[in-house]
Formats: sequence, C-alpha cells, structure tokens
Amino acid sequence: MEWLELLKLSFVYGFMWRALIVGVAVGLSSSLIGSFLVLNKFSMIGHGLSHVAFAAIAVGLFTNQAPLLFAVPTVVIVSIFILKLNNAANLQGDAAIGLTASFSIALGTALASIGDGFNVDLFSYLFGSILTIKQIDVILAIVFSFIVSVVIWFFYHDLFSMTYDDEYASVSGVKTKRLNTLLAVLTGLTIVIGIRAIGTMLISALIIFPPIIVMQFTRNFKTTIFASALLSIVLVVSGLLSSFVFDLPSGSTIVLLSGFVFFASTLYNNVKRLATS
Amino acid sequence: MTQNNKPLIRSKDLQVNYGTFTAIRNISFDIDKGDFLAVVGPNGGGKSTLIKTLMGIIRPTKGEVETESKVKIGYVPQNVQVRERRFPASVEEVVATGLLMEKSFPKRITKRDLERIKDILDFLGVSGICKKPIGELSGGQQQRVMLARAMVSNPDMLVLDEPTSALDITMRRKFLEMLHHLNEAHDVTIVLITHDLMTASHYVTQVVHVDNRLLYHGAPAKYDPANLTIPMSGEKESQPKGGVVHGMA
Ligand SMILES: Nc1ncnc2c1ncn2[C@@H]1O[C@H](COP(=O)(O)OP(=O)(O)OP(=O)(O)O)[C@@H](O)[C@H]1O
Ligand SMILES: [Mg+2]
Repeated sequence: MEWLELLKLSFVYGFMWRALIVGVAVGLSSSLIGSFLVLNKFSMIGHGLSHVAFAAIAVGLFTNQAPLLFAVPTVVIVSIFILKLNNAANLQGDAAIGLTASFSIALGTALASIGDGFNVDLFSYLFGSILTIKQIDVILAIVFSFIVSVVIWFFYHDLFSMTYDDEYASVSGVKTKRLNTLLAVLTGLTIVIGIRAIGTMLISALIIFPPIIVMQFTRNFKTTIFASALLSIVLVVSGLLSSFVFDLPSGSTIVLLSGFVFFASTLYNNVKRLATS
Repeated sequence: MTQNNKPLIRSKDLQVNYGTFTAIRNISFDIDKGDFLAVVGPNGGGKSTLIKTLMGIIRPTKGEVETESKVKIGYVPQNVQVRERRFPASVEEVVATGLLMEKSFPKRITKRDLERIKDILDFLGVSGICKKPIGELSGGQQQRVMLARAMVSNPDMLVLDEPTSALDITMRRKFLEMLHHLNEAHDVTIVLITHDLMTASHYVTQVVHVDNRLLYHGAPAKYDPANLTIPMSGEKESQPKGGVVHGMA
C-alpha cells in the first residue's frame, strides 16, 4: 500500500490537484471540439497543430522564453494559416496539415540538437508530465477551457449544421468559413492547455478517442457531445492518477487507457451486432 | 400572383469552372417571385452546379448572381443518402438546422420549434421518427426528412435538386401537388431540378434546360427537347452528353 501513501502525498503537495484541474479542463475542451472535428473529417488539424506546438515549445526553450506563452499565439496563428493554405494553394484534404506538421518537427528537432541542454525538459513536453504543471498552467487551462466551452455553447447549432451538411448550412446563413476558423483556433487553444498534462505528441489522440468511442453507441448529437465530454474527463483523471502510481508519462498512460477502452468498446459492439443478427 | 418587380435571383453571364473543366457557361436568366421553375438537362449538364451557384454555395468563375436580400431559401440537396450511415444525429436535430436562418444569435431551439418539426414531419408522412438516428432511415424517409428541413421555416423559395428520386409514385404525385399548392396559395417560388418533366409539367410555369449552356428558357408548352438551339460552334464541347431523360420512374 506504499502507492496509496504516495498518492495521498501527491495531493498534500498540491501537484496532483493542479494536474487534475488541468486534466479536467483539457478533457472537457478536447472532447467538445473533438466531436465536431471528427465528424467534419478534420481531426487531423489537431495532429498538425500539436506538432506546431512542439516546434513552438522548442523555440521557447531555445530562446529562454516561457514556452507555453510562446506556444499560444504561434499555434493560433498557424491554425488560421493551415486553413488559408488549404484554400489558397488548392491542396488536397490534409496535405497542408502534413506539410506543416513535418516542417514543425524538423524545426523543433533541429533546435533541440543545437541547444542540447534542454533535451530532458523537452521529453516532458512531448509525452506529458504532471510534476511540471505550474500555477500559470492551471490558470491558462481554466481560462481556455472556459472560452472553448462558452464559444461551443453559443455556436452549437451553427457548428452542428455545418458539420452535418456544410452546403446547406451556408444557404441558411451560417458563416461556414468563419466557423471553420473559429474551430481551428479553439483546437489550437485546447492543444496548448493539453501540452503539460498529455504532451504535444499525444494530445491529438484525446481529441479523437472520446468522440469515436461514444459514437459507437449514441443516437443523436447532443448525447454524443455530453457523453464524450464525460468519458474524456474520466479517461484523463484515471490516466493521471495511474501515471503517478506506475511512474509513467501521464500522456502515455491516458492514451493507452483510451486505446484500451476504444478496443474493448469496438469488440463489445461487434460481438453484440453478431449476436443480434 | 406574379408581380413583376425585381427578380428574386438574377444571374448574369455565369461561368463555373472545376479546375480547367467548364461545367456551365454564358448563363443569364431571372427567377421571379412566384415562378415554378423546372431545371432540366442531361446528367452532368450542370444543373446542380447552376443552382448551387445561384444560392451562393459555389462562387462563379465569371459573371455574377444578384439575390434579393431578404429571400429565405429552403434547399434540398441531391444525393442525401450518400451521407455516412453512422452519423450520430437524430432526425429532429437535422430538421432543426432548417430553422437556423430565422434565428438570431445566440441561436436556440425552443419547445415551440420542436412542435413545428413534429408537425412538418407528420405533414410529410413520416411521423414518429423524430428521435431516430438519421442513418437508420430508408432512402425515401431520408429524402422526406431533407424536405422537412427545407420547409420547416416556411421559406419564400424552395430549391429542390431531384427531391423525388427516392420517393414512391404516390408520394411523388402528392409531393408535386404539395409544391403546386405552396406555389399557388402561398406564392412560394419553386426551383425544381427534375428528370421527370412529364409528371411536373402541369404545375411548372418556366422551364430551363441546361447542358453546359442555357439551351432553353421559357414556357413549358413551347419546350421541345428534340429541338433545342444548338450552341454556337467555335468552342468544342468538352464532353459528349446524353439526351434528356424523360419519364424516369
Ligand atoms: N466538385 C466538382 N469537381 C469537379 N467537377 C465537378 C464537380 N461537381 C460537378 N462536376 C462536374 O461538372 C459537371 C456538371 O455537374 P453537375 O453535378 O452540375 O451536373 P447535373 O446536371 O446536376 O447532373 P446530374 O443530373 O447527374 O445530377 C459534370 O461533368 C461533373 O463531372
Ligand atoms: Mg445534379
């Protein structure tokens, strides 16, 4: 029962509280936007932006700036840039995302190898580490997840309409271009707050897993969005706690857990379908 | 009923390219309030492209579209059934998106709206499917749901892209009568893309035939698909086109 004592201590020292607050915030906003991104076939933007976040962090560490604060504007600007690139260069599907992602990784790793002092620190940004979460991260997480939730609440019906049928949405006066930009920016914010607890390499998984797990069972969109928010929070919290107990990177633990739940639910769903047919 | 003020939609010398391929060109005509316009032409002739351009979904490569600013359009797209089977949305949620054009920020769906949705579904003969996932419906049911979405807000103009292709014969007739009624009694302007002009011809006031160019625009009585103006030569047709399909069941 040594780990139970440790877990108690983690709360006493406060870093577990911080991790859990950030975790709930990230889980909430990533699943809210995830439900729209997945159905818009646009979930790869999360993947692309997380790589951009990695590059931004590397630049921040390299130049001794506060990495997260540097990442916020960078990711938001690039999210808009990706959308514009998609339209302007007439690129197919997620090609713009692919380009941006690999360019960012190249930049990040190049900087990391030049300034080899920060390699250890970088690892925690890649795969998440609850020990590194500071008060400023907590504040950022609360503010950004609040923004994401409120914006989604205000634009819920427009976003849903666009997601179901973007041509129809534009005929009925929904500003689909602007909404897409909004969605990309919100994705950027979510990624930034997820960097500490989950890591740049793994945060995009949290955008995708909860919605696709619950969509196997849900019959309408409202349930989908609520259920994936709930599931996401459960996954993040249990992942954070077990990462501490098993001494693993927190992001890895959360994503492994999500993968396991996805596998189990898919199996269950298919067995059930076979049994009833 | 038709008042000849400004047209609802006026197109001037429209051209739409997809890459290097020109889907439609040199198209100019007006849609007036109260028209019941049938848009006909071969597969690939550019009918869907034309109406999407008129509604502002596609931006024309050349030319322009002028739309009466306050016109409320209900739209039924072609090929609704190709949408994903597993899309997690209920019929009610999908039809509710038809109400968004009359809402102002922040848009909310009220109890009253849900009643209107139920009423329109009842009216279209698909009662009791409000809570069903959209992907679990038959093709015909889905098409009626798309109609419900277009009609729930009582639009001034309905634009329908082959809306009856998945409907059975009785429903098809009933549907055309309903459009006729909306057009006559409520002065709703109708734009109907159809391959079945025969069935619709009693109700239609204008026919537009598009095959890359506008080959006919006028009264249905004078429309003769076998004797259309051949487009001026000089530019060769980019694709061989089939003839007009009539009386498709
Ligand atoms: N998004 C697109 N990208 C490229 N080409 C397209 C696109 N949409 C339509 N086309 C081409 O433009 C031409 C006109 O297509 P459109 O869908 O407007 O025809 P249509 O008259 O509606 O045909 P149908 O009766 O089969 O519905 C076709 O040759 C089609 O291949
Ligand atoms: Mg068409």
